[in-house]
Amino acid sequence: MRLSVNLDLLDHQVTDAEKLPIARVDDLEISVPEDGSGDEPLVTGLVLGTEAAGHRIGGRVGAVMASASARLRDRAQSGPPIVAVDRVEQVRPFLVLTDAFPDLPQVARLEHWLRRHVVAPDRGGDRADQ
Amino acid sequence: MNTKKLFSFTLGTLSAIGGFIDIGDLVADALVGARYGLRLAWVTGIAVVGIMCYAEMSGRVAARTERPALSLARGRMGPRFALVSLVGALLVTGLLVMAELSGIALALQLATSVHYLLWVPVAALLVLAVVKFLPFEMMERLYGILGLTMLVFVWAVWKLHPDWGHLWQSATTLAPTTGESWTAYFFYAVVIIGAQMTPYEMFFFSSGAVEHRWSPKNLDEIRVNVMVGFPLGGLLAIAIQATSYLVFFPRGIEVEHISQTALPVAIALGKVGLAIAIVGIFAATFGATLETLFATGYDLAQYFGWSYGEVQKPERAARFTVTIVSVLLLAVALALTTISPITVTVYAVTFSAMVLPLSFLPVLLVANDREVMGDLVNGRLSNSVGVVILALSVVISVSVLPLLILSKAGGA
Amino acid sequence: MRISELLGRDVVGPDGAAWATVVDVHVDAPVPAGRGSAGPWSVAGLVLAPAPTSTWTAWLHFTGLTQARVAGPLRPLARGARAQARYLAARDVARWSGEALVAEPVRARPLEEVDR
Repeated sequence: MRLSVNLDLLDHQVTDAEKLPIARVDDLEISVPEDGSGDEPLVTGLVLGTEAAGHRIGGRVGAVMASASARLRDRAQSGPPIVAVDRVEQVRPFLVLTDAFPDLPQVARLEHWLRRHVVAPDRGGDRADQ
Repeated sequence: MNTKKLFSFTLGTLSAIGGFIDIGDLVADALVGARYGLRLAWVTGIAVVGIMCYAEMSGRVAARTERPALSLARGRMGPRFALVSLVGALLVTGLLVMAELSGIALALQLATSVHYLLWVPVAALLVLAVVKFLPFEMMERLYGILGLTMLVFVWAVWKLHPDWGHLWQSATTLAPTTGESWTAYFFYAVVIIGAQMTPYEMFFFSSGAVEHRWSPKNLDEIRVNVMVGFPLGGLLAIAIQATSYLVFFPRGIEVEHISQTALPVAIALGKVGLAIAIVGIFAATFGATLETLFATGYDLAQYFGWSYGEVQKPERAARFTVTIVSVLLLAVALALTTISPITVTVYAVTFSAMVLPLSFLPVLLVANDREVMGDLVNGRLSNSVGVVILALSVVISVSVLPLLILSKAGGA
Repeated sequence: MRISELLGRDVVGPDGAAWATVVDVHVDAPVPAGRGSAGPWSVAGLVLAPAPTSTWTAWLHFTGLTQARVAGPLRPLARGARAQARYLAARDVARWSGEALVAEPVRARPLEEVDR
């Protein structure tokens, strides 16, 4: 399928395998070919973190958004969460991933955290945290 | 006849209630009726046409894409523009939650003579209980139908034995009454359209369509909702203007308080009419509180791509749930500062008028995208009306501040 | 590299003169394809606006009004931008690294040829 980054990918809704909305495509990770090789760059991953959106918005507001979101990041990671494109099952009318939300602990960390600590603490959180 | 189909117009009615007979409108319509008669009824007409066009469009987009209207904003306009739209939307709906919550309290004050501030926390608890225990569909049906008690205003117009020719003449005179300035007239026109053609009606309607899981098979339901709900809302708004006109205008009385909204009904229909009106106002403000509260949660959730909604259990939409509860608490806190809900509504309506185009644009763009919509893409009618309303919203957006200043907020 | 770094990037010829700006990127993706997509997603080409590109033109491209798939009453606003837009196949980009992309202007075709 031929997609337009502006119209089909960037800032579009991403859901998990059960069609539960979890995040937006805040940027795309691409691999750049060698100069002069004539190869096409590959889109390797979806960047799903408001941190990346903050960088795109720019200015003071964007910087605040980016740093607030970065605080929620898993300490082991050096940037916002990236989901490989082979985990994308569908693109139109919105992106659907092959995994269910509990199996994606690095994405939408605020949601994971709130579920665990605020909204449903007695349920022991998601599978992935056990 | 299938009872489900019979009640299936309630989403439209509930969306319309929040737009046409919420607390802002209740006071604005009474005020405008007392001051200009029906000379601003044409504005309500335009608001009805405009919101019908965009609610249908966003409902159709929701049926095809399973995504509601505000969700489209970021995808089509980018994170920066959509952020401006989000901030505007949050300010409007956030402030309105406080105003509508106060409206519930004021309705209770009308019924019991206990000061409204004491009712505010009670109202908040009631709202919380409804949100927690009532499923979306039931909530929608209950308030959609109870809101119909506002038809008592139409009955009141009848009972006041008006000179119908006189009313018609007032409605067809597109000019301020003698002694009133044009700037104040147009300021109130903008206030009315800002209060009645609010984007959150469209957001709520399309989010409701997604909650109902409407698909292209439900296009008829979408259209019935739009064609029944919003014109009904417009009719009720005009009825309020008319009762206010018939009772206050001849006596030169100005409307400043919500209790005056119900007075004409009491005069026309006595205690029974007043009781029904109070029930209606309670239902309308309760429905509007739910609508604006949800809209605030939806706005934030849809910008960031979170799960949301009444249909999802709180555990599956934690960010949305936390947002809703926080907004309600903030609304109570704001109300308890004793700031007038009417003042808050005027600010909210002004903001809404200023960001109006940013809300309509993404819907018009997506509804015209053949790759997304397939055979449900916009036809000529949707596009003609849609672009006219969009152009109008741009005019409104740039003129609201100058009119506010020039007319000294309607005082001139 | 991120796609956000590609959008808005200048394209220069071998002589170093800037002749276009990237306003959209077309991607070939083998989805839907059941459980997980069957292959890599490749960048097929770039949509370019002639340099210097105004914010208005970039915005028109962003909203999709310059592409054939978005019809409707706002299209006339984008007629000029669409006529001037170019499409460059990814294979024809000589250099991706560096501050600007390097490609020969003659390699680019009118967008209208590619997007009907």
